[in-house]
Parts: sequence; C-alpha cells; structure tokens
Amino acid sequence: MMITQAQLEPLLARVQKPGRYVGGEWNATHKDWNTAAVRAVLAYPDLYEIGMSNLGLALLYDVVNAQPRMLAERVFCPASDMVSQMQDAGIPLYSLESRRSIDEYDVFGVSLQYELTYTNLLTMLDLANIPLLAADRREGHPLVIAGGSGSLNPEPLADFIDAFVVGEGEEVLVELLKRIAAGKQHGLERRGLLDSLASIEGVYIPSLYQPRYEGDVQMALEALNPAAPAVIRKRIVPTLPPVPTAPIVPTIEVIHDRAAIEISRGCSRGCRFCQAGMIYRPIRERSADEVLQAVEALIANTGHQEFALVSLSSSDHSHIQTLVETIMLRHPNLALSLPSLRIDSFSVGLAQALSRGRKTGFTFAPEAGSQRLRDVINKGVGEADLMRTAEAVFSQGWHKIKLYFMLGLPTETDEDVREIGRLVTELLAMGRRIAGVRTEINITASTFVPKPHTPFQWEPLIDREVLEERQALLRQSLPKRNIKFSWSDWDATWLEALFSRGDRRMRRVILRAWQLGARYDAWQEHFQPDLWHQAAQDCGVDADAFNHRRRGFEEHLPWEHIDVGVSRRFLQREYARSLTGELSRDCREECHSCGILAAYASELDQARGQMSAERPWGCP
Amino acid sequence: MSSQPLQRLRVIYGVAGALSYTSVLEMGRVWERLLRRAGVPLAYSQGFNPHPRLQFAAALATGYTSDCEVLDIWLAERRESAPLLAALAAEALDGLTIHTVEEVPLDSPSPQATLQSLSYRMHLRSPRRHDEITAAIERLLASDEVIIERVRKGLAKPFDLRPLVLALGYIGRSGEDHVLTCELAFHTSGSVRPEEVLGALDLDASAVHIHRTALRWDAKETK
Repeated sequence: MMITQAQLEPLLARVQKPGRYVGGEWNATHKDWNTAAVRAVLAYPDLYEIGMSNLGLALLYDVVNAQPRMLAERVFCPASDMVSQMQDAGIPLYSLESRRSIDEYDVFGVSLQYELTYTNLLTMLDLANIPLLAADRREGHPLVIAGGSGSLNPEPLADFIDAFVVGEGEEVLVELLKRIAAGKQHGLERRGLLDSLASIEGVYIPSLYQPRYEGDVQMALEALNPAAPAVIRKRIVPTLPPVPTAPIVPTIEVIHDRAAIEISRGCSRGCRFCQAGMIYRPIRERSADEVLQAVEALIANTGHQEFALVSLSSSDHSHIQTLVETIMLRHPNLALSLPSLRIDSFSVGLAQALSRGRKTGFTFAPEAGSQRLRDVINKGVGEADLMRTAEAVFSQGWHKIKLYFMLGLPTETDEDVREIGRLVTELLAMGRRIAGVRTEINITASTFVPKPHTPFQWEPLIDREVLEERQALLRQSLPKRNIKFSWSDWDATWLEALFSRGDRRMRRVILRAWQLGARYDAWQEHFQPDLWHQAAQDCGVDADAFNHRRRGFEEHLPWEHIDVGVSRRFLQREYARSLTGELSRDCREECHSCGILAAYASELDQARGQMSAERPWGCP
Repeated sequence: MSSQPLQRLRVIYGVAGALSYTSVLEMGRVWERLLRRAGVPLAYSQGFNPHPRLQFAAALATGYTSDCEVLDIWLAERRESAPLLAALAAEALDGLTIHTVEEVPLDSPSPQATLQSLSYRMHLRSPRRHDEITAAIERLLASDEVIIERVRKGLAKPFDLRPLVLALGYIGRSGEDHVLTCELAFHTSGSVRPEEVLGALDLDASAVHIHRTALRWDAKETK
C-alpha cells in the first residue's frame, strides 16, 4: 500500500515538525521498485533528526543502493503525536522514499546504537503491523534484521529479531540481501531461509539457540540446529569502504547538520571501560588524499559548510594536522569539527589550524580527576597533558571548553571525585588568565556502565546511593561560577546497564514495559522509570541484583557466543592490570596480543594487498 | 573569506510538496547549500562566523505552498542571470522551482521593506454550501471591523483583521474542495494569516491547503 500525499496532508497539519515524515531530501535515492530483486527498508529507532545524524545508516544506504538489483529506503520512529495521528487515520508505518507500507519490504533492517531506543523498535514494528515476536511472524512478513553495536550483546532483543548482523555491515549486509533475493526466487520458506542465513559469517539467528539457566544465572546458550555455529565472529572490512560522497542532505534541521568523513575506524588506546575501543578493532586509517578528495566531493554534492572528521579519536590520525591545515586553507569558510579529541595528541599546531576557520567547540575527555584512577582505566593521560592542551585552546582564542568525566568507575573513591573539582578549578583559573573573564567550562559527568567485551564487563554497576553522594560531592567541589555542570539521571543509567549485559529474560521486561506504555526512553521528558521497575517486577527479574552483581571470571556471560576478535584472556589480563593501576601502552607502539590479528589473518592479507602495505592496520 | 558584494540578484521561486514542510530558518539553510552546490560566488559577511547574506520576504508558513517566494542574494563576483538560473535549477531539490533570476541595485530596499500585500488561494473542505460561503464572505467584506482573538504569551487579545483584508472571493469548486482567494495587506506593524481569515468566516473548514500566488510591492520603491 502506498500512502498518498492527500492521505498524509491532514496528519501533517496537526503534528510538530512535519518535515520529519515527508522525505524528498537532496540526494535521496529512488530506485525502481519493480526491478529490484530484494527491497530493504533501513530503520533507525529514534526520531528523524537523530537517525539522520548517524553515519552508519548513511554508509549502508549507500552500499545497498550501489548494488544493481537492491533497493534501500529509510524509516524512522515517528514522535508520539504522529504515532497517534497515524493510528487514528489507520495509516501504517511507511518509508520516506516510496511511501510504501513497511510490511511490503523483504527486510526491515534496524540499527541498534543505544539501549534506550529498544522500545522505539517495538513502536515501529507495531505501527508497521509486523508481529513483535519473531516466532509470531509468518511468510510475507519482512525479515527483521538488526545490526550496530547493540548486536554485540543481542540477547535482550533476541526474541524480537529474526537475524542479527554482528560487526561491520558493509559487506555482510550485501551478502545477506543476495541470499534473501535468491531465497525469494527459489520460493524458500521463512524458516528455511533463516536457517540458510546462519551459514553467512557474522550472522546470528537467535531462534536457532536456546538459553539454559540455573537460578538467576544463564549457564549456556545451546544450539538447536547443526546449522547454527557455536560462536559468531564479528565481521570487519579489511580496509575502510569509500566515503559516501553524496549523502542525503536533510531539509529540516537535524542534530548533526553536517557532512561527516570517517577518517579512521578503531582506537589504539585501550581504555578499559570503553566498548568502542574494544569492538571496533583493528585500527584502519583513511589516507589524507582520500579525505581531501572526499571534502571536495562532499562540498560539490551537498553544499554543506559544516564538516566533521569523525573517528573514535580524531587527533590520533597520522596526518591530522596537515589535513586540517589543508582543508582550512582551501575552504576558509568551512566550520570544521573534530568530535573526539585525545588530550595528549592534541597540539598547539592543531589548535592553530582550527582557529583559522569558523570556531566550533572543543570537547576533551579526561574521564577521571585523579592520576590514580586515570591509570586504572588506562586513559594514559597526565595532568600536564591536560593543562598544556587547555592552554593551547585558550591561547588560540577559544574561551569555552567541554570536559567529560565518568563517575562510578571501578575503585573510585571520594578523593578521586574531589580531584575533578581541583582539576577544573585550576583549568578555569588558567582560562581566565589567558582567555579572560568570559571563560567557561562545561562539565558532563556521566555514570560508568559496565559493557560487554570490555575488561570491566565483570564489574558491578555503582549503587545509587553512593553515586548520588558522589554527584553531590562533585557539585560541591566544582567552582561556583563560569561552570556548567550536567550529570546522568540514575534511572536511565540503571536501564542502560540492565540491557547492556542483559540476557534473554530481558525480552519479557522490554515487552511488558512497552505494553505498560514505556516510549522514547532516551528522551527525559518521555522516560517513565516506574513502568520499567513494574515491568521487571511483573517478569520476576531482580534488576538491582542483576546490575550490582560482580560476575566471576568462570561465569558464562550472555554474550559469550559473540566473538569480537578480542580474547577473554586479554580482557582478564587488562582487568588484572587495572587493579594495580598498570598502564598498557598505545597498541600502535606495543602489541598486547588482544587477539585481533590472529582472528582476522585473512582480512589482514586482503588489506595488505589492497593497500600495498606491510602494516595496513594500526597494529605494529 | 569575507568579501565585498559586487552584485545583488533577486530569485523568485516556488515551493511545493515535501519542501513545504520546511520552516523559515531551515529554508535559509536549504538555500545556502543549494547556492554552494551550484558554485555561486556568494559574498560573505565579516566577523567571527562569516556567513553569506541572504534576504527573504514574508516567511511562508510551514505547510503552505507558493509560486512567488523571493530571495535576494549578494555575490562577490558578477554572474549572468540566465546561466545562474540554469545552475540553480540543476541543484534544486524536489518541490523547489526557480522561476526567475534578475539583478537589482545593490542599494535597493530589502524585498520585505516595500512589500504591500500577499495573495493566496485556499482549498478547503466544508459542510457549507457554496451560497453560504459566498454569503459569509460578503458579510465579512461588508463589516467595518472583524474582531478575532489572538493568544500571545497565554493572553487572549482582540485583533481587528478587517482592514488587512484587501480582497476575498469565492472562485468555485475543484473536486470536493471549495476554492477561495484573498489578498492580505502586509505591514511590518501587523499582518494577518489566511487561516485567521478562514476562521473568521466560520466555515468549519477541514483539509485546508493554502497556496501563495502573488506578492505585490510598492511599485515606486522596489527597484
């Protein structure tokens, strides 16, 4: 069913930001429906403005549409006003490109980036008239396929998803769609098709497994079918795929209203709390020439004036300063931002280069206030680095910086928290001396959530009382003026922690909470923690015990069947080193045998060939 | 790069379809990007955040379509109108139609400053018969004042829209829709929205679609 403009117009007149629901953006791809052998709708389970700011979605849209007989369109989660308008008018969830009802696609591919968007997925499936539980779907329903960092602990969503793509999607999504196209052509039934998808490397079909519990602990995940591999290894691409140089240019304002270029993937620093640093290994860098060409192409194809050089640690790129200098020289009116900067690789030269253009903000993440705790988490940044960096920024004309800290890290004491206050006080004094009285420091203190596939995956979540005392303590120790302080809400942290390491029993909690009315949990104004507490209770899940329990090394973890290439031995070793505050150096300088090279030997060979380099990755 | 403007051009364009759900601010960005894609040598302002100078007239409400939007742009290098129009048209997204591009003197007043009135065509559904609608229009036009309530900061204030209605007429039917047209005065001190006029007619209107058909300037001062 196609939704017509006449059907939509009365709804659009009654909702906020109707531009979210109409498509028609520059560079949107409209492929011929009838000649496509397989049709996918790429879904992002949040509002248009958030989803359109996601680089991964833009990449996959580009990759699929570049295939001759494949079609990819987009859909986002409508806001609550639009959801009720659509329900009242009997209009199902539809795609932005061809405005077709979502249940007409072969694949509903959803990107999982943040735990608190999980109920949005249910809202979308419901609005699309697709049964919420995979087991209830029949022939003709789209295959619900999930990817993104959420698929690295897929269990909380296992019963809602037909297939997970584990790891980087650029290659495997195309393989998957080819297989689905072939299956369609041969009239393969849903079950048979899903069984056949299990043989694609990096694809996890949750219905082929069954968990076994003892008491409150999941003991194992057992394969029900010989077709199901015991371990699903994440997929990686040997070298970075080409930059999508003609991305969709949103007509309405989105969160990141800019052209983004991924300059590298992976991070060599090995911060022990950081999931991204572990799961996006190995490090692959894009050459300066390729980045510069992409800038020219993007300006010509999009007209963007705001650019971001995106990476887990932009200032670690081998040629970052040359890159920034060259771009600013060629395009002085560009606003260039480097969203994640390392304190110790940020230089005066880089600050100088950036100061020539339109000034965007600076965010640095010391994470912890004391050297002791920074060593525990392997941040590897000294206080002198931070002072030097702040000096460079203030002396190049900026008077505002943002600093990001975490509370609740393993081994944290009150003293560590007071140290944040002392550090910020000194930075502010320096700023006022150099940049003047307008100096302002924004402090964000998020709460540490133990994440799967990190050295801290066995750690408990901090107790609410202790955390709230420390938040209050931090507030007291910060200077009273020229400071903006924000911190994370406990309930959101609690829920994120629950899903992060959750097992399959969480499925019932998610479904129950959604039935009780939980919606848009990532949005503070919509988030109703009481519903989640009730849902957990209704399902007999002791969420507090789950979150605050320390896992044993011998324990079977719910994500044990997902292999990200980083070995358990390495994680345990890093955990042990954290307790003694022992640093592990940048892995571009010294290999810590995390396991990635052994796991991806053939990809390494391919990368060597493609780049004609002995060491195509960041590994030494 | 800040640069002195050497030429000022006035673009007249139309808005339809998906693009009509774009706010005024967003339309500014849509145009900036379009102009950059088309390689138009925009003159940039001086200052901390240099930006190109663009001037629109009479913001089009979100959801309205139009045939007669105005945009003035300032260029750092001279360009011929005809090839520029072709370049803009090539980069225009769905729903955007470039009608004309013509040069105006650098020092002419802003397109909004001398604006006199705005004309609209309104499509709507109504349970009223066409003679009832015509009668309502005649009543409104015959009144000396037509007071509506406007809510500002939570307070309802009376407002007389009658002096701003320069013309209002019933055109006929298009399918199930009734079609009306109006010309509404535009002053910097006050203006009236077509929906407010429809409200005053009390037509119990639904599925309203409003299309801007013309802008009228003070002929003496425009160029």
